[in-house]
Amino acid sequence: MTVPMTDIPSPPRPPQKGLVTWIWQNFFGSLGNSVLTLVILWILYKAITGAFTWAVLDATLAPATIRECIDAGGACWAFIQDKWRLILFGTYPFDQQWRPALALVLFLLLVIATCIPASWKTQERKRWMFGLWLVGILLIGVLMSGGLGLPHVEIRFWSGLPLTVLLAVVGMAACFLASILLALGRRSSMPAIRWICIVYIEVIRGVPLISLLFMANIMLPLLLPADVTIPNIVRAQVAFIMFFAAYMAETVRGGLQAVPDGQYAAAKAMGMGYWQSMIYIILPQALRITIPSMVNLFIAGFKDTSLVIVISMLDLLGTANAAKADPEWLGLFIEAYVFIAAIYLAVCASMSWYSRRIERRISMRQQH
Amino acid sequence: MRTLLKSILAAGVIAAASATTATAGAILDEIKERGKLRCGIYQNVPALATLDDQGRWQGFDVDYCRALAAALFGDGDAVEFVTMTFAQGMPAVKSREVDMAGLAITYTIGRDSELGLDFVGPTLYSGHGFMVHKRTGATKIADLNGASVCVVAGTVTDSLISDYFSARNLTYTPVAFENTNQRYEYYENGRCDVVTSEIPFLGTRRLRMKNPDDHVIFEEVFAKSHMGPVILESDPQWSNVARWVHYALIQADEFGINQENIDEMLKTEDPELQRFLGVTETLGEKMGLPNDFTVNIIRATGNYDDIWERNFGMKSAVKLPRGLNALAKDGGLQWAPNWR
Repeated sequence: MTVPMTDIPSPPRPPQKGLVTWIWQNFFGSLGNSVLTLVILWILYKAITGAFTWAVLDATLAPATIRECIDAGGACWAFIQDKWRLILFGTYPFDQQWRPALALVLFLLLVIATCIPASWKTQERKRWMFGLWLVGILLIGVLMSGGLGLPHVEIRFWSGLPLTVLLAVVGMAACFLASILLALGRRSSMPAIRWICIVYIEVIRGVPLISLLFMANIMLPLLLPADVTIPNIVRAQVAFIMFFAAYMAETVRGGLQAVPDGQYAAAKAMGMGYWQSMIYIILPQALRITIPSMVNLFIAGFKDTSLVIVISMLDLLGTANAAKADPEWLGLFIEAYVFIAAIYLAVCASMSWYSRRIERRISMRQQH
Repeated sequence: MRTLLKSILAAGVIAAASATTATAGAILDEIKERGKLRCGIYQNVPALATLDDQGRWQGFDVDYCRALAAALFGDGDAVEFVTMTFAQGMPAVKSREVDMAGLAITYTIGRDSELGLDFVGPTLYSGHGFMVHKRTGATKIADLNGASVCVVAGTVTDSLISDYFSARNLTYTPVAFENTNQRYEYYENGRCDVVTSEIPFLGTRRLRMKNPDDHVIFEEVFAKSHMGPVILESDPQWSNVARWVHYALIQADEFGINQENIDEMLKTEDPELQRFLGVTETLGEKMGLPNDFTVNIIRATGNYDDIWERNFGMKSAVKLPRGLNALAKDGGLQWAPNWR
């Protein structure tokens, strides 16, 4: 017996839910859920009103003294109004601080341009982008350190946000390259290279970043001849690259292992050599897989740059600490930390937002 | 591994050798050749070394570095400041990483004779006292039996308390910190009952607590304290320069010469002033400095009184009277030998 198609009952349409029913079912479905919802609502209410009272209602704006701030009981934004340039630019000569500011803006523009997919559509545009970066980096270098008529500013005066960004960006770029080499080395068929890479990765991963920074800052000068001095920014930067390259190498190795064996075989069958097959076939696929964990590492790395304060460097956290030590404002610190937390949050949130966008684009492309 | 050990040992031997074989003028010449004084200062200790709104170092110790740089190079800004903790200070002087450590280090016989260091000043006289939470009900040191005390690890204060308490059969629990600011935050939050430091520093900190009235500073002083910059004790000429820069600041205070009236004073007919300012004779040159080094110091930082007022006195947030640090003629302890 054949059943006409039309007789098959269509699955029941879910009943139209109003917002109220949806809330009721999802938040107050059971006694436990109801209690949980109410408790969380109460905590949210307390936290939001508390923060609002502190940051807006009871806050004090310039001009004000610390006593007025303490008596008002809320946030002392007058303190930040007094100190924002110190927190952002630290010991960079005051009358020259437009230079790091401009350098940061330039850098931000370059990053935005790079993040727009349209910038990479054609070969010509790609060439343009490389040119832009080259010119941009040169300009930023001149702005920060001087030249072309700008007075020279020694590297030891670089501090605050430019220092944090410098440590993070140069560090991440260098350790990205190093990590690829390390990951390939660890999977190499040549025992010497393989073992060097394994030992390096395992040793560095077994050591805390702080101890590496101390080594770079205190031990290294003892081992070098007395007349060789390396600026401590460079020393910290190298320690940083060494540390994160080891972690990132493991991420990249994960990606390499996830590429199906057939791809390696296919590349070989095409007559490609080792480097050719890696660059054109394997790495593009492997790196695509590792984007989420890579961004994870970038975010962790950006925040970990603040560890350089243990070797007395004035990064963003260091300058915030310097601001709170001013005798005039002694005793205030929450405002300074909120200020830099907002900067860290903005940077890290945009990184993770952008990585989610890339992931979506890639998965869309793979479905087509 | 063995080569690493070897090179560490070699570095140690070289450092030790260079420390003992340095001769008269060696350090002074090296600094002059470098053209810049390397000065170790605290990072963020109010009144001693902090960054101002414009990112320039300010503070009592910072001014001493500037004065020394002005004496050497005629430029108070010819200083490279290296920030460090108390524990790093004396090793940094020994290893020649810095020429001078301005970390308010207390002058003791042990440090002077055993460590091969030389002390300038004392530039700052004071006494060690206690601040306690009022709720403890303590009013004198004898009440502190069994109390927990916040101290900075490795400082003289640490060992002074231990001596003082054990001599009187009192006990206490030390709570040690690496850094001064931390210690006050933890004290205010109740991690310990007592915090101890030189009385002027306690006063500054109390001003900034949420409820200054909840804290009592005992009038009793349990130890004297006398601090100053520290340098390496291997080049007598360099030691002289550092010492006489301090005396120049005191002497200028005695004469009443400051940044405003220095040009006026240079025209003086008073032979004593002329000798001091290098208008006549060659006192500066004999020490290995420009003859007008006192003028350069005063132009860069003012005299001792100016430095005091800027960092501890009425022009600062601390608002301390000169007290023990007044000139000898005003009943204090600051005093300079004869300028002839």
